[in-house]
Order: sequence, then C-alpha cells, then structure tokens
Amino acid sequence: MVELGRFTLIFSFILTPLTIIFYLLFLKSKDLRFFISAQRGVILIFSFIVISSVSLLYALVTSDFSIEYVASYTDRTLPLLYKISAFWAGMEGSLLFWALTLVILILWLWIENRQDYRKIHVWAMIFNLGVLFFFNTLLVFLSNPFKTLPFTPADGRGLNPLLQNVSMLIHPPTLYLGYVGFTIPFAYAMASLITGKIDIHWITKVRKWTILSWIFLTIGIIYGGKWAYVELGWGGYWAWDPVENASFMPWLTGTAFLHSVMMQEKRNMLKIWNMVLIMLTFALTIFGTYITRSGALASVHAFAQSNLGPFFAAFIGGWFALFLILLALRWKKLKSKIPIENVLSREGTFYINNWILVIIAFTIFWGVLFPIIAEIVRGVKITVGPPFYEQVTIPFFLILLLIMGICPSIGWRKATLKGIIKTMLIPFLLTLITIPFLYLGGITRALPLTAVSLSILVFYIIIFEILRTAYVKAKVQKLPYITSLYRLLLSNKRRYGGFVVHIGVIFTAAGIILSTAFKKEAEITLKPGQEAEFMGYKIRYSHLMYEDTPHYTWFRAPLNFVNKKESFWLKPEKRFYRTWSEQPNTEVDIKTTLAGDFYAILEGWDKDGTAYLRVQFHPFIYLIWLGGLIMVIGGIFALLPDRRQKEPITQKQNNSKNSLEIKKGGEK
Amino acid sequence: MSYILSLVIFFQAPVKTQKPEVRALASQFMCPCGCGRVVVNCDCGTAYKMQEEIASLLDKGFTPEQIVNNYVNQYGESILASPLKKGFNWTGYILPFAVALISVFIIFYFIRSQKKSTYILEESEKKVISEEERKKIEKELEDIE
Repeated sequence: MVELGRFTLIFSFILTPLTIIFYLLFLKSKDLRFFISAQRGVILIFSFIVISSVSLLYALVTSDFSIEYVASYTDRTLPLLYKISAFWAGMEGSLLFWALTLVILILWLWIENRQDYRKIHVWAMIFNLGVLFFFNTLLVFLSNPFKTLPFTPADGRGLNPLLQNVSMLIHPPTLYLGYVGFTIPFAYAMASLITGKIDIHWITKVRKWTILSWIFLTIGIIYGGKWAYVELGWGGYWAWDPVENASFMPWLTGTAFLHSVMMQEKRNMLKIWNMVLIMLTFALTIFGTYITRSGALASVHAFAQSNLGPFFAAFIGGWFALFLILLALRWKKLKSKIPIENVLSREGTFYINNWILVIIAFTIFWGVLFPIIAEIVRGVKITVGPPFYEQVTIPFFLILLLIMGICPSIGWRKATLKGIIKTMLIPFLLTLITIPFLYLGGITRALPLTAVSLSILVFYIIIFEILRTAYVKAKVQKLPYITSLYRLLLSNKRRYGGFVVHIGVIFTAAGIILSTAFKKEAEITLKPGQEAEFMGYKIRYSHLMYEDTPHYTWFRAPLNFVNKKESFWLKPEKRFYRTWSEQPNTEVDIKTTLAGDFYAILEGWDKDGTAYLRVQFHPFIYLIWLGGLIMVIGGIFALLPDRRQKEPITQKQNNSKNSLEIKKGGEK
Repeated sequence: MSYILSLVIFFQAPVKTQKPEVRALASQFMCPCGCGRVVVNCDCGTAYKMQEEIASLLDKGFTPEQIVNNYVNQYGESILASPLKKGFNWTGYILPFAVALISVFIIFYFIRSQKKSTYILEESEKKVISEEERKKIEKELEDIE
C-alpha cells in the first residue's frame, strides 16, 4: 500500500501539468481531441489522488509504522476514529487532504461543465490544476506522507491528546473545505481576467462555490471554537492565536466578497474590487493552510513543524504577480462607469460594510505581522496576544454590527433619510424600551450594554423589515399574511438567507459579549467530603477517583452541584496518555443550562485526595454555537435556487454561443 | 506496571490554586513553554510554576508593575501578552485606526471623482451629438426594438 500511495502521488504529479498542456493546446488549436484528453486527465488525476489518500488511510488504520507519518501521529491503542482523523493531524497528511479536497471539487466542476468549451471555463480548469500542481509538488518532493523509516518501530508516538476529540473529525475537514473551496472562485476570477470576459458571467458562476466555501469555513471556525472550549481546558473558545486568526481573515474577506459581488450583479460596480477581494481571500486561505500545521508561529493549534514557508511564500507571491499583471492589462475594461448616486443607498452601505470587513482583516493581519516588524525596527521580540486584538478590533466590530442592521433595509440607488428613519423608528423605539430591562438584568457596564443593545436593535430591524415587506405584499396581492410571509421568504432565498445569516451573527455576537462580560469563576480547594458554594449551588466532593485504561490513566473529581431546585454532577478529569505522559490532558466537564454553562476543571490534587478545582459559569455561551448553526442554515437557504431564478446562459445557448469554434477529430 | 505508573503520576500531579489577583497578573504573560497561550490558560508545569512565583512575589509585597518589570527583564518583552504602550509599539495600536480613517477619505474621494467624471462625460456627450444625430440614433434603437 505504501508503494501504491507513493506512486499514485507521482502519477498525479506528472499528469497534472500534462492535463494543463492539453487544455492549452485545445485553446490554441480548438481541436476537441485535446479537450477530451484533458478531461480524461482530470479523471485520472482524481483517481490517483483518491487511491493515494485511501492508501494513507489504510496505513493509518492498520498501524503501518514503517511509514514515518503513521508512526508520528498514531499508536496501536488509538481508537479507530482518531486513527482516521490522524490523516489531517500533521503537515504531510493535511497537504494530501488539501489536494484530495481540491481534486474532488475540480471533478465536481468537471461534471457540471463537461460540455463547456468556453475559454473562461477551460482557463478556470487550468488555474485550478495549477494550484493542485503546487500541492502535488510539495507532496512528492518536500512533504511526502509516504516517507518510510529506516526501521519499523514496535509502536507509534500516538496522536496528541488535544486532537483526540470528536470535534477534530469535523473541525479540520470543514475548515480545509472552506479554504480549498475559495480556489474555484479565484480560478474563475483569473480566467475572466485572462480571457477578458469580465462580464457578470464569472460572478454568477462562482456564487454557489463562494457561499459553499463560506459555509464550510464558518462551520470550521465555530467548531474550532467549540473544540478549544471543550478540549483546551481554560474555559475560552478564542485566543486570538495565529492559527485562529489565519482562519478568520479569509472568512472576513470572503464575507466582504459575498456582499460586493451583489454590487457587480445588480449595478455593475466594484469590478476591480471584487477581483482584489477574491485574490486576497485565496492568498489568505493558502496562508492559513500553511500556518495551521506548519508550526511557523507559536500556536495552540500547531501540532507539527515544517520548513515549507519559502515555498508557500513563493506560491502566493507568484499568483499575486500574475494577478497584478492581468489586472493591469484589464484595468480599463474593469473600471466601472456607473457612479454611486448617493451614499445613503444600499450601495453606500455595502461600501461601508466592505470597508469595515477588510479593515478588521487588515487589523488582524497587522497583529500577526507586528511582532516581526517590531523585531526588525527595534531588535526586540514582542508578542501580540488577546489584549491587543480586543483593544483594536472591538470598535470595528461594533460598527459592523450596526451596518449589518442598516444595510438590508435600505434600497438600491437612492434612499431618503426620511425613509430610513421610517424603517428604523419602531425597532429603535423597541430597543429603547428593552435597554432598561437589560440594565435591571445586570448588564450595567457601558461596553456590554452598548454591544447587546446594538445586537438587539439589528435583530429588531431585520425582523421588522421581513414583517413589513410581507404586510405590504399581503395588502397588495390580497393574500393572508402567513401566505404572504411564506411566499416572501421563498421568493428571494438569497436575500432572506442573508437575513438569517445576519441573525446568526447577532446570536454569536450576543453570546460572545455576554459570556465574556459576565463570566463567573472560582478557585476551589476541597478535601474529600467537603462542600463549597458557587452561584447559589453547593458543590459536594466525595473523593478522587482514578482508573487505568489501555490508552491512558485518568483522575477524576466527581462534583455534585445542588441547589433547592436541581442537582447535577460534573466530573472533570486529568488524563495521562501512555505515549504523551509528559503532557497531562485536561478533560473539563460541562453542564449546559438555559442561563449558561457550568464548567469544571480539575487542576490538581494532593496526596490526601484534596482536589484543586476551578469552576466557571459562562452565561449564554451556547448562543455562540447556536448563532453558528443559524449562520449555516441561512447560508444553505441562500444557496437554494429561487423558482424565478434562471441560469444566465442555458446549456443550449452556451453551446451555440460558444466562443470557440470546435473542430472534431482534427478537422481542418 | 501501569498501577505503579499511576501512583507515580498521582504523587507528581501538578497542584495549584491561585487568588484572582494572581490570575489577573498571570493573564498578562505568555507561557514561556511556547504553547502560544497566556500563563493563566496553560496547564503545563512551567505555567504552574510561574503562577506560584507570581503569588509568592505578591505575598512578599511586590507591586504588579514590579512583577511585570521583573519578568520583562528575565524573558524580554515577548513574555507580555500585548506590547507595552510606549515608543514604536504605539504604531501597533494606532495603525489600524489610521488606515481605517485614511481609507474612509479614499472611498469618499473615489465616490466623488466617479460622480464628477460621469458628469463631465454627460456634458461632453451633449456637445458632440447634434440633434439630428440624436434623432437618428433614437430611430435606429426603435428599429432594433
């Protein structure tokens, strides 16, 4: 299997440039035989990478420790699911997973467009394959997952205990799907630049891929937060760690792109900006891929080391150079002749929305970069951690929150101040009524109160906008209100899917604000049989438990939380894995209630069984996960086709309007 | 064998409880173990030792500033979770806001210049196209429709 995996990787590496050449020959000669050869090449590349991936999976599952990667990330006692997840635990496996994901997406694109001979599609395939070729090169020459050891060890090192969590089965694959998915819109953007077909077509074509990638990236980020919360044992979900930042930056620029393409679709504006945004997003996904597993920057998420930095830098730099050349060549064609008529319009708010999203992305990038710059300038190493990011990004997030509410309720082209006030008056008044209740409920500090009030205002604006439009529609069309509301939501899934996403963002924002501002925490030391008080609960501790399993030894402090109404148990643990005994692993225990999460951490113990514990209460933290779920649902809803929506070019038209005159069988 | 290992682990297990002021101070330092977490959130031995050290320094009457300076002298500025607000470090804090502000001006300039160029275009079109030509174009457009 090792040889099969290695050779299929080499075949895929050789075949990828050959397929690109076939596509180029087709473009030059218009000879269909080259096109067919290239199409077959795609299927073969797909097959080889799939075989290679299955070979690695087989080696992981069967514990073939002759392979260095398998010996480094698994051991015999590792449960099957984690042996599978070890596929993406290290740099080599992650790169193969990247290639596998990209080739699956390329095949999907191939299936959808196999009769599409248009230049733009062919070029998009070439660019996609170009990206794949880079990863194939790394896999064959620099980061081969099938590298064998000079001797076969009796057992492997095992998977880092922090990665032994169910979230690891979802978080990395979804994050990578998000990263890889943005390659397709990028390839189409480049294809449109090189062919000069800078009309609406490429934007329409990439819409599905962009939303899909955005959804996966959202799932990846939210699941990453959930993993950190459950697994890292400190009660947080976001540490402004370089790897976390690297996943958040393309999400921000991708979100900006999702909004600004609407400007191009509806008003034929921001054509250059859209190109820049997708290039940035693509570059940031590659940067994220590198940072995630390379260990280039100290991170709680970096579980491997590699020296691929210069290659990734050259790859991103090369694409940037090509992009800038093409952009310069098409500059005149791309320049919009349509001016923004009024800043008080949806266009205006989209400008602000894009500005703020990109500024946040820039700020985070600046935070990642600043230690390097400071070292060059001052010759002193510094760290940029959570306090820095919180200080510099919070004002921007607040503006973003407000814009999110105003933006969808303003019409295209021109809006009047009177109209905006009319739309926002009721939500604003309702928010004013809500604020005293928030204050009485304990949200007394200025920043949390402002942020929560803003979230509520935006929520009201969105709901009011939907209800108002449904009311007008019901009145005009003489329909029952519920029917009107139902039809309205289904009539423009993209718009209302977007509204649902915004509601999700509000939930997540509220969860972040409330859980951060009102977190309660206590350090408790309990001897066996002792009690402590926390948040109106009595915490009873009986004795310390421990057990040996084949995989690890655990120590557990069972805690009984009791108040007048209820009683529940939390059983925080410390685990000592056989192969990672130098790194004790904290296994927290969590009880979710409607008010928030009770969170218990076993920090240590004494010889007499005294337990040293940390208990926390995270109010409304579940809103973060719930918001993530709502965002994903909204994204999927926006992805569904509208009944009235028609493909811009049908297959029939497509073939007839083909820009290339095809020659079959070498006809002259 | 595993029983003995468990016992060894049992007696070697990290032990700690820290006061809120210790935790507040420990949240200002990055763990020197290189995990990328702040001391208060790291559960490695180094982090535990550092928290104990902070507690002991506070008990001895050292002020938080003195403790911060002590660690900066020992490990360098990289031990701090965020850069000290002095000298060149201010660039880190100010630049995002400066870029945000400058970009606002650029956007407004861009919007204004776009409006202006369209206006100029409309004016020049008026001058170039004569009434006769306009009628001719309109007729052609009608024919197309």
